[in-house]
Amino acid sequence: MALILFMARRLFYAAILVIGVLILSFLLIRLAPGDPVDTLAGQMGGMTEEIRAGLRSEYGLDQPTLVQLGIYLERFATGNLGYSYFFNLPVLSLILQRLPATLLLVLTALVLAVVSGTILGVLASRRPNGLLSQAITVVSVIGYSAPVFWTGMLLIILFASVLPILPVSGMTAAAVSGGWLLDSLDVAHHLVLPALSLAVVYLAQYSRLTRASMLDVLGSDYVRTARAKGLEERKVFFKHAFRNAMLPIITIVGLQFGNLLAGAIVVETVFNWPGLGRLAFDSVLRRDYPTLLGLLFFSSLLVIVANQLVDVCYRLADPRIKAS
Amino acid sequence: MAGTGMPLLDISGLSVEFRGGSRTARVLNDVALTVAANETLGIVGESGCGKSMTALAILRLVPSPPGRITGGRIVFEGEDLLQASEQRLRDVRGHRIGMIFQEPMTSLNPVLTIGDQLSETLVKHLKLDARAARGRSIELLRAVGIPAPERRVDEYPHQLSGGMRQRVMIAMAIGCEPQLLIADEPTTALDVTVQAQIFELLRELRDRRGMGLILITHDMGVIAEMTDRVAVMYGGRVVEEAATAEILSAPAHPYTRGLIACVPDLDAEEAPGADLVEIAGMVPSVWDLPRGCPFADRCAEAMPRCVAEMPPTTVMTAGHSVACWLHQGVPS
Amino acid sequence: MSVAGIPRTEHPSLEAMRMFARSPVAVGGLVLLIAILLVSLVGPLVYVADPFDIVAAPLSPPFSDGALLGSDQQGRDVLTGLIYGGRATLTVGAAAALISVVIGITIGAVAGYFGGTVDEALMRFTEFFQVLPSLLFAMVLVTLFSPTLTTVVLAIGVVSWPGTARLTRAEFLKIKQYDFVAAELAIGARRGRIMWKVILPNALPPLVVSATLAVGAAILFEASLSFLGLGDPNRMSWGLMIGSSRSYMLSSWWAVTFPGLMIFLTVLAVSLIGDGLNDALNPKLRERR
Repeated sequence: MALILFMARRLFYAAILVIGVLILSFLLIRLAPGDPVDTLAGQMGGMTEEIRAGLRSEYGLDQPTLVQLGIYLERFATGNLGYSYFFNLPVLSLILQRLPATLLLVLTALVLAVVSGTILGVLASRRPNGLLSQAITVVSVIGYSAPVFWTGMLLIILFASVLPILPVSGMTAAAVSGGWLLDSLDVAHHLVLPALSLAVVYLAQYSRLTRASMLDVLGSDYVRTARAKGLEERKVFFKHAFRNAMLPIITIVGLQFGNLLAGAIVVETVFNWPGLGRLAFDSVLRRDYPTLLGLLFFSSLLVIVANQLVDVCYRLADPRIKAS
Repeated sequence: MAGTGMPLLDISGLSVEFRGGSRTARVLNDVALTVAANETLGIVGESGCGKSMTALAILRLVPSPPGRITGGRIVFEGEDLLQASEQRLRDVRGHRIGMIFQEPMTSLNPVLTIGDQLSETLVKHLKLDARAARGRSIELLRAVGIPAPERRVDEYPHQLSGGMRQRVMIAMAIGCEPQLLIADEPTTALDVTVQAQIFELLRELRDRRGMGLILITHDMGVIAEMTDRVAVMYGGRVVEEAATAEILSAPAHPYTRGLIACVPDLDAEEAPGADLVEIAGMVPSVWDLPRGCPFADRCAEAMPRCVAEMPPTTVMTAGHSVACWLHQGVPS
Repeated sequence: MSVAGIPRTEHPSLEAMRMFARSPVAVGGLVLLIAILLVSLVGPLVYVADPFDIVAAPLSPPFSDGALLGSDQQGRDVLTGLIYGGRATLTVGAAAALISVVIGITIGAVAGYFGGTVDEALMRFTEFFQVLPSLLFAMVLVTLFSPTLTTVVLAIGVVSWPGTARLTRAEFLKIKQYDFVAAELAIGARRGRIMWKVILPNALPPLVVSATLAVGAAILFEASLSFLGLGDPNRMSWGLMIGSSRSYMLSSWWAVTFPGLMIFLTVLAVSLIGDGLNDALNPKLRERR
């Protein structure tokens, strides 16, 4: 019951955030230099006056600003994210087409980073000054400092010319269609490098954070209590320390989901991965504003959904959090 | 066990060191203590004197690094715990020796239910199955005076008050009917009425189960109320030890006298606001212990020798020993 | 202890500097950063050339005539690009970080100091900016308003302040409780004085660390934008070099590897300094890292 109330309240805030994003993109269209019609049409050369007039009336551009805003919000509320004149498709279908590839990439990287990051962090916390601990610290500083696209490119150079065992571009091999299983394997094969480049930064960060968090928790009073009870060290570690140590990781994963999406834009561009990020890059190149704004809206929505999920996870993991 | 004359717990020569960088702190120095079954030993002293460290050392829970037990024997029921394997030690912890810590607010795991935290000890040591452990947990909660234990057992620590949490800690510590219970300032974090209830509970449990009890406190009033014998600790050493009545009536060490003077009046109901005497000066840092008696710089009766040399522990009368040059008979 | 009993009353910032100097990693970061600054700021004065000039055959490998580190697909010298590209990258990094820190501190300080409804409103506002995927938002901004250095700086600054705001707010909430703030209030000090002259200086240590890291983050941000083709095309920068040679990386690894290496080393230097400052300014946290 409390959970439902909690969810309802979170959804209410989420709705406000979504409307905020829409208002922001509306303002951007108005503030951009030049005629809003050009912005909405994506500065397509040789546009007929017919299309321009159509756009003008569709968006109510001859109406007062507030009415325009109303029309704009209404359009989004009905799922109309605009029309891409470059791709000749509604923005929404364009986005939905590309969404699975991005979700596959981002979620794979996220799971990879969280799972291996926490495992490494826990292992390192057993020996706070051991080799693994030092390696994690070094790798996380290096991983943080290296631009994602650069590591991606180095991987491509390595795997394209030196060690050609992994594909470095695209999501599928052109000729393959060997049934469901082979196709999946093919995609997985193509996924390795992009997911790895995206995950490595977060992997290092999460392992460092897990290590610090575990060390913190291992020094806490309740862990001492658990030891004083005569529990096996394994149980002290996993039942008593680990669950508490994971709480800050959950928070960070939620906060960084936006960054992860940003990383996906770059990684998809580097590896020609046909997802939302690649779409964003293409629309920047073509000055395809409707698509770009649609993407901004849609990715904000993704971040909001991710944050909601993280909140629920946190609530499940920490009984102290009340609906607040 | 009773009647053999062998104490339940016999600590001798216990020393603990902390290392920080190139420096070494002697946190415990040649500590000797005994506890018999059905007896309450009080350990008293200001904070930083080594009381809690002694308690942790008994279960080999000294945080390491930086701490290390460097010497001594801790003989419990005839077995030296310092020689025991980790495996063996885990059988003793929470089973033969229970421990209650001073911070009930932080000593329970916030993400596990009360029942879960109580049961795991029972499952581990008494080999109960989950169902039986739950039933026994409810009984234990009832035994320590928690109302509606059937409901409380499924709650989380944050849903309980400090006093209730300390009761849960006690329930946890006595769950396997230990021979020895160590209570490290069990009431400092609680308010006065709850304090009295907790002490009443501890006393009742000791009497009913015949446990040995080590009660650590900085409060001479609690010592007078609860204990049979007292060890006074200062600077990581036991500076005086005797039966409680003897300590209160004839304290030998100037530090003990100072502690007793701090209590307004132990027997008579004095008007509130009576002068609270404090011992002037501060407890020396364990990183910077003097060569001689650690209390010398605060002691009104200090002699040159006190600064130069640590006094040995001498027996004054049967069961009353002290480490102070004032009681060394004829100085050499 | 030659001065037994006399406590050391050294100024805390001196002590912090001493601790910083004692960490070889932090000092290494500082030396690296100084070297990079020297190359980027003094280099162009010593080595006069136009980074956009074509000096060699396109895609010449390193150690070719006239192109020590090779040339890109247009035959421009990579080494010249490295020396001249630093200015733009470092300027953008520093300026954007400054903007983000100023916005972040202002919002965080106001929210933390006033609390209540103001705090609630400002935190919702901050949350809003945290929900916007910052790179995408910056891409939209730069695309809509021409890709000049100024637009890029503003875009990065405007999207990256929420972290600083949250940190500042937390510090203000904490320090507000201290006695010396109550004392200032009791003698009737003005609000502005309490906020900026009393609380802020005490909140500085974590903020200095966060500002340092913000510079690194802004440099990475600029690099990503340039890589996506959103840098100023008329100003040579390391990100621009990578972005324009992207399609040729397999035939000319040097044209992307070296500028990337410069970005990496710069951010590394800044992060190491940040870590060192963190250890020096927040000694209590040291063991947790």
